[in-house]
Amino acid sequence: MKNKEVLNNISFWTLIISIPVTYIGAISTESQLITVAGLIIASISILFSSLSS
Amino acid sequence: MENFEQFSLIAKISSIIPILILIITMTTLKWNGQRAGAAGLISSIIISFIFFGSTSEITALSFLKGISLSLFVLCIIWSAVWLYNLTEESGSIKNIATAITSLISNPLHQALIIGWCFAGLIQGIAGFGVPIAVIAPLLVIIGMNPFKASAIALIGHSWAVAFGSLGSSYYTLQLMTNIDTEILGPHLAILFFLPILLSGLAVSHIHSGFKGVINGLPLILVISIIMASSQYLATILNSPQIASTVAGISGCLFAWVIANRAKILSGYYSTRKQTEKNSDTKAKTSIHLSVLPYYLLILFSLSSQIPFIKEVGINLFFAIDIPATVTNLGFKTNEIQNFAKIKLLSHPAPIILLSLFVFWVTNLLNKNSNFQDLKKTFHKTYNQCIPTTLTTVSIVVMAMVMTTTGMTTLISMLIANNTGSTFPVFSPFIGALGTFISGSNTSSNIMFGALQVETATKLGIGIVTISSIQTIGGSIASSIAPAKILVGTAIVGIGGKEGEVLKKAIPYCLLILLIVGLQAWIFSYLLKAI
Repeated sequence: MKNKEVLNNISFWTLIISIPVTYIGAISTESQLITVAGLIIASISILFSSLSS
Repeated sequence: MENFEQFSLIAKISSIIPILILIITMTTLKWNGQRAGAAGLISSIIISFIFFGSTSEITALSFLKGISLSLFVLCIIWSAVWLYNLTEESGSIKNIATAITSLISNPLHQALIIGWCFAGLIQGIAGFGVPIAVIAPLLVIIGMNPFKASAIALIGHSWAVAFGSLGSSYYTLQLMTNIDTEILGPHLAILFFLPILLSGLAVSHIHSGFKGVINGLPLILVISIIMASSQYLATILNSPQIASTVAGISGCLFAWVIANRAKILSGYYSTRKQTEKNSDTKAKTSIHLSVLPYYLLILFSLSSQIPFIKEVGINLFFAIDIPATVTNLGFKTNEIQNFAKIKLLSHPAPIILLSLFVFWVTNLLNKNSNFQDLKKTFHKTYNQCIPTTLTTVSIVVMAMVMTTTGMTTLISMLIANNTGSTFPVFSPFIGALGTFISGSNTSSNIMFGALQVETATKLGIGIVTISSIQTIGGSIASSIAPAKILVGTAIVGIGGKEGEVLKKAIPYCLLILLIVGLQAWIFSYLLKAI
């Protein structure tokens, strides 16, 4: 149960971090590199979310 | 996407795969929402790259669109769960349960009045998942199993979605189809009689099986006629924005009178009132204080519609602008300014939080609460809402990937182009698809309203009927939209078990959609309705 909570927290906060990174990459600067970085962070969030269940 | 024939057969089949994965993993494999949502999202991204010409930029924009839409829903979930936890902590939930059970003694009547009529009334005023957040816990506190409670709240409120949220879905449909409101409103209200009746029967079946349907039938029939007539009356008086609210109020009132006719006729209430007056004024004050958050919720929701407040709040919102996109296969989406706008004075979350705050201050003044309660219940809410948040984001992003890359449009066009004269039967399923994917009847009407009218015109059948069926389908599918189910499961403490609730609600939803489709066919081809 404790592990599940830790993984959920990591997933949640990784997701929060991925939002501004993706926003800056895709909308503000239109930089493909930053966009991909944002998507990679979001993918890590999805991975942790799946592992926690 | 006029030339949808450019898609290979595999692409056409694959467009439905993410939805199938989501439904099968949640219902058959019993995966929880987090894992099922992740599977659906990953499959949609892979399919969008292989068959639909997606790029990393499109995926990123779909992700941001999904986050914006999720934020809209999640603000409601977090604030509603916090309000519920604080209400429970103050002991109010127990008081409400006692009050409801003493007012309506028959459990089936309780389910119908709260889960069907009152749910419609709340949908009429607030919408956006608030009925689920209010009704599901109310049903649990009067002793109902949380799975049944969530399913009843989901099915029970669905009849009121099309005219609900003070007409937001209805007016969107009217804008998308360009049909005069004097024509569309009453026609839609007539077609709504059957879904109202069926949702009532479904609530009684979920509650106590066929025995419940037989026992509840006379009450359901009378209330359906009353609610449908109220809706019709509101539309012919050119007030479609209050059609669900008026229907919900009249339904609650008549259901209560009918359910308690024996007690009313015998003078039970006047005797009881006298006894209460003499002995228990403190308990009466306590029940009104317990229900205070819900009184406030209704009051603030109505206040947010006052023109002056609307005007003040016009520029107070949070939203992002989404640029236009084009896939490698040429599927275009337009630039959207202020996507998924969260209006600070009328979005349900600030309204719920304001109700929570006033409720907490009132309890504080009555020495029934302290700052620790607020902190403790927020901590509990945080732990409850994290899994729901992760599930919501993955499912909504999946939906946005499908919409932005043309998968959703392809599915609906496949239905529209391959059904011929049976199209009216499938028409509500297109509306339902939009709501299932986006969690909103309004979005469904934006996505498919024009397509339904176009197909109806090609087939030479009534566009008013098909437009109405579009929003009825979307309305009914609110009962199975994952975004709505998540509100219910989070608030009644069964987060992660969305699949079981979906499995309970899906047969009723599909059956109602099928009957609505047959009704549309009869109206279109036999009655030659407009």
